[in-house]
Amino acid sequence: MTNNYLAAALMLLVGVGFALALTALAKYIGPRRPNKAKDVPYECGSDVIGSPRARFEVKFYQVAIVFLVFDIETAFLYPWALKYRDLSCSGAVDAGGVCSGAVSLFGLGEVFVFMGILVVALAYVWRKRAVGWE
Amino acid sequence: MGLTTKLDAAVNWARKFSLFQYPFVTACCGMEFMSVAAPKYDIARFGAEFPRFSPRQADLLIIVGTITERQGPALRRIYEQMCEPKWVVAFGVCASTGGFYQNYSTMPGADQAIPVDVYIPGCPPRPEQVLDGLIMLQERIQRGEGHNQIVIANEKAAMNAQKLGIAYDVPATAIRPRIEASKG
Repeated sequence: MTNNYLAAALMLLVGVGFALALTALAKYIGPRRPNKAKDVPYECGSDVIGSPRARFEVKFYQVAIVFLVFDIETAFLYPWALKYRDLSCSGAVDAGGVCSGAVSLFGLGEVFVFMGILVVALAYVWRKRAVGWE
Repeated sequence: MGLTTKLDAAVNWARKFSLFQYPFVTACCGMEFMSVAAPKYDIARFGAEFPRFSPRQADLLIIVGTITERQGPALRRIYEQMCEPKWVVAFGVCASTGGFYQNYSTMPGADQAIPVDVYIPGCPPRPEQVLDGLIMLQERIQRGEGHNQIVIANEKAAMNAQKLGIAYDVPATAIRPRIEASKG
């Protein structure tokens, strides 16, 4: 067990060491010929317009946050959809997808609860005027 | 053969097989460039593996296509921003001479803006021609005859002469581009 870790540590050391060695070599023996153009940011040869530290509207942040809520919702719906057959059957489900027990509404109800909570969140952001772009 | 000569030969050998290209693609020759870079003709076999899309990481500028008067200064700046020693290849007749564009807006050859080492004729050139041009460039690199290699060698010689207190006239470069160095 310890030996395995030793190999990993050695690998890490060699990897990092190699990168550092190459960087150091380039720094100390690489030729260096500075000029003015090399200090200019690369803009496909054009002149630089404005500062790279431009400001963005805070609305983008708002949209990003709201997007995250619905993105996660979608991400959770996929596993739910895959498990839906199992969740709607009180007994076992065979390979063909046929339910051996009674039909249960658990899966459907569960997702409605989940969506309900999200609708509350949507109502909240709607109220707060976070949806829309005025 | 002195030790430094041998070292130079080894360094030049390494350089000629580790060219990082900056494709300055402006026109239809770009299709042929893609063909050269793609597996069938595979420019990587000749040690010019990677197209880099930043001049900071490139030492071979390949001018692929027509250069207009408006593009000249941009080309000049990109050339100046590249790593040194650097080499320039004019890909196709438009980059070499302006090709069939004989009008006020087209630069009659990219060498009006920057020095060029190898001219590859053709409208567009066949991939084999491009590979041939690349091999010609590699031979020049090995001999230390790239335009930028000559500039660097001259500067070195001038510095050494100054140290020793000898007069040394830096030879005028054969290639004198029309466009001045950008103001930075």
